[in-house]
Amino acid sequence: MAYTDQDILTQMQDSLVEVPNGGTSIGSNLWTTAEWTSAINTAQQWVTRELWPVVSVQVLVTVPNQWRHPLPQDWLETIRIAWEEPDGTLAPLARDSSWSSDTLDDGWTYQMAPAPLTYSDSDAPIPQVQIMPAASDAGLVHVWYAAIPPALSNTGVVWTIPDPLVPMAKWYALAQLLAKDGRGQDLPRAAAAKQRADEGLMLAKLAVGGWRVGLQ
Amino acid sequence: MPYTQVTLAQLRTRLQAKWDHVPFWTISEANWAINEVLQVYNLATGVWRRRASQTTVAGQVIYGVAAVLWTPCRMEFNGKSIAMSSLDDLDNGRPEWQSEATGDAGVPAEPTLWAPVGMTQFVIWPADSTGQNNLLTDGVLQTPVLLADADPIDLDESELDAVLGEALHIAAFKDPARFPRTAGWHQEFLATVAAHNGRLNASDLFRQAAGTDQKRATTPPTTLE
Repeated sequence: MAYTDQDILTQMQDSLVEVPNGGTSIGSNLWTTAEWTSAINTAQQWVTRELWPVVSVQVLVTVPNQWRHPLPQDWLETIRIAWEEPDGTLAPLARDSSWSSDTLDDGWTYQMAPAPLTYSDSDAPIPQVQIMPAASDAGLVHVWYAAIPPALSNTGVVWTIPDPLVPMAKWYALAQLLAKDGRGQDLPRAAAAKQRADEGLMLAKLAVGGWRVGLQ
Repeated sequence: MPYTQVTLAQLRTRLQAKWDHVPFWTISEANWAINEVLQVYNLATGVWRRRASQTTVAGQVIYGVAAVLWTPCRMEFNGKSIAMSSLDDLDNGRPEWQSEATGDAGVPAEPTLWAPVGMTQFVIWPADSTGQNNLLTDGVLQTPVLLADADPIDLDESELDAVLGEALHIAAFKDPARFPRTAGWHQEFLATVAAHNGRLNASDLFRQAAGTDQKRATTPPTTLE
């Protein structure tokens, strides 16, 4: 079963003693429906960025002698970059930075090579990826990335993250709502909700341990 | 383990028994609280497992796990086990792995490695150049979701109490006064899942949440004679 935004908004309404109706209205007027949908969208992106639970792959056609290339529109975070040469050979590019390349070879920005060795997303304007050195041949950049999930609303949109991760996202969203500076503020419960979200995240990290570098 | 099959209605009845006054939750709230605990329980323990088959696609490197599973644990190719690796190991140890397929020179005749990618995907090396072969995955089952009162689930009877205590704690969140009073159930639940998964105790966050760090602090240090 895949959870919908309405399923989770209803649960959140139960937890905050609102009339449960799939998030179509917030009877107490302590929050707006837009705040609630914003909270679950932020929560889903938080889980996606922290865990990379679903990997998207896109192949970019490059232009020779250019070292910055546009990333996919739904790019959230780069997981892996590989370079495909015209003969079909594919090899990963190591993650590095411009500063490292500057130190290694200060001519890297204009001295081309048949294939790049490294990539960086640290100083290129977002959303762009920088390959170093620039390739003199047209190659393909294979981008493995965490994608921005489709926006949740209160209309039955299915969550993109796997089911076991949805509860932690719900608690993250509850923490946001309860921390709002207003009549609905309840900082102890906001902290408790955030604690549950963090515990869920920790459980998920252990479940997929080793997948994301530095995950544990 | 003494597994037993219980239905959603039975779970809800036992949940109500944990509160001997008028329930402060609706049936709907109890149902989703129970289902939420089952999700977390499966995430922490991987207790529900299954084998699932899928067919390879010619030249394909990255696969999604069969729909009944949410994460793979072990894999076989045409009945022969293939070893688990990691994306980093493949990238560092065999940089051109992604463009290699069975039948290429210097490449095994069958896939010999797999590596998890995300929670629900994996890659194989080398890619199967012909396709239409069998990939058998042992993995963690998608958590059963109990919708109807008669929907059953297999649970260890000795852990039902902790599971339902956690459901009570989740349901109690709506009441700021009651919620702290049910926190003990949360610690009980964490201790229960830690019994399945010893790696949890390696986490500071988990030990603090489970209260095991506090217990350690109250125990006088012993000295070796």
